[in-house]
Amino acid sequence: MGINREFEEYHRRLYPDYDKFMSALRKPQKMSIRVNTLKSSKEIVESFLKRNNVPYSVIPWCPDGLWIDSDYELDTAEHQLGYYYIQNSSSMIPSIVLAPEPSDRVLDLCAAPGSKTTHLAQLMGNRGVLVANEASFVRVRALVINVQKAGASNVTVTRRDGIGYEKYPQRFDKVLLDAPCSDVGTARKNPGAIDRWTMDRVKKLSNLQKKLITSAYNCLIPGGVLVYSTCTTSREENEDVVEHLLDEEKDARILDVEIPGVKTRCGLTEKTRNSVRIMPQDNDTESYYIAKIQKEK
Amino acid sequence: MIRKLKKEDAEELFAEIDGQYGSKLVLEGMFLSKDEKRESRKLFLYTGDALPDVPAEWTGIHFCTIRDGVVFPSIEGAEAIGKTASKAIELSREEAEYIMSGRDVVIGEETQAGYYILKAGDDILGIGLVEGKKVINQTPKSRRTRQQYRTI
Repeated sequence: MGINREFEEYHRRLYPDYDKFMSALRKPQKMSIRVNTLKSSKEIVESFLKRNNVPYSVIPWCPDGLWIDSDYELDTAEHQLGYYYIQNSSSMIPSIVLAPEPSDRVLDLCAAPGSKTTHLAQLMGNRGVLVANEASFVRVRALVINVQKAGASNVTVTRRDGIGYEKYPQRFDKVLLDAPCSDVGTARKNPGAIDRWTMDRVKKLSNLQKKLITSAYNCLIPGGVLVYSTCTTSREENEDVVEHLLDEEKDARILDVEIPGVKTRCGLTEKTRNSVRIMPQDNDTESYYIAKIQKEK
Repeated sequence: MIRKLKKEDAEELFAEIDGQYGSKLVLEGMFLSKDEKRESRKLFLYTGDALPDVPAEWTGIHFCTIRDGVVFPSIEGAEAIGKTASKAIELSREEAEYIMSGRDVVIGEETQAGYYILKAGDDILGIGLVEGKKVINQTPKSRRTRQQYRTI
């Protein structure tokens, strides 16, 4: 991995344990899957792994999540039949934090390629109402394929700009905004994310994220809950976006984020202390940021 | 344009599936029909509590395509139909992996030509087109494994 000086200077100021952070980011990512209980069961998938002598272990924060402790090729018939979804272990967290009920109306505002959408459908037992939106024509195709493969039959896919989504009449009990970001957290899989990082790009993304979070919030019913998440590290894309919403919407309240089994660090500002940062060196995962906000009744 | 199937249309669909695959289908959810004026129309199965008030690009899962009166289930449609289907072919594990990689399979016995549900134990793989002793692959390209298998 080459040295991006701008990235290093920024992150040395952000993290006192920057060297440990970078050391963790340089390690290859641990493979993980999520059992798709809409089509299969943990017993069936574990039996398949054992039959093929694939060592695995349970992910502490996701009952249906399994780490694969080898470089076994996971693109199998079982995968294409939708029995499991190849998904990063920390990316399983936002849907768990959102905790949708089977009777909920849920929106996944930036849904492609569908790992969280299909996880939400699974948590809802294919009931309720689940809308998965994606602005990109190319990415919608991947989203539809993954929804189909998972057998997620409670999903409606829309292809619209997430900004301004509140113009449609439908309102939601819960909204997930896993926002487009600078992807630093994915560097274990995509080292180029660090090479591409610039402050200029971060600021542009932050402006986009602020508009998206406002739209996401305006899609909620009173009493509804929004989970905002990114797989990146900059304060401008995380805490600043949440603070922007809290300053703009006086009926927005930030809630505690509790994730049993995950070591977390609190948000970087006083107003966002209840949000969490998940660090690769703490949990052997990608980097993630999660905030949970409720609209007062 | 998407249209919700009326009860009598759904019953007609179930009867057609029973006729073709020997399957008594029992399903929860609503069927939605798309592309009705085209040569082939697609049916979707939706199990949500209500249709949301949004401009939908895709709703539920693609259950089957109907062309010239013949029902072509998707893999997910076959999974529902295949549980009780009598018109089914049982494949070995190896043959199943071959089918999922997009290849044809030669089976042991000469079989009446037509579309069959493909099974491997408890796994339902979709449908295959049988001609003589050959099962001609119908697995969509987007659902094929990348693995390469030797010829069997």
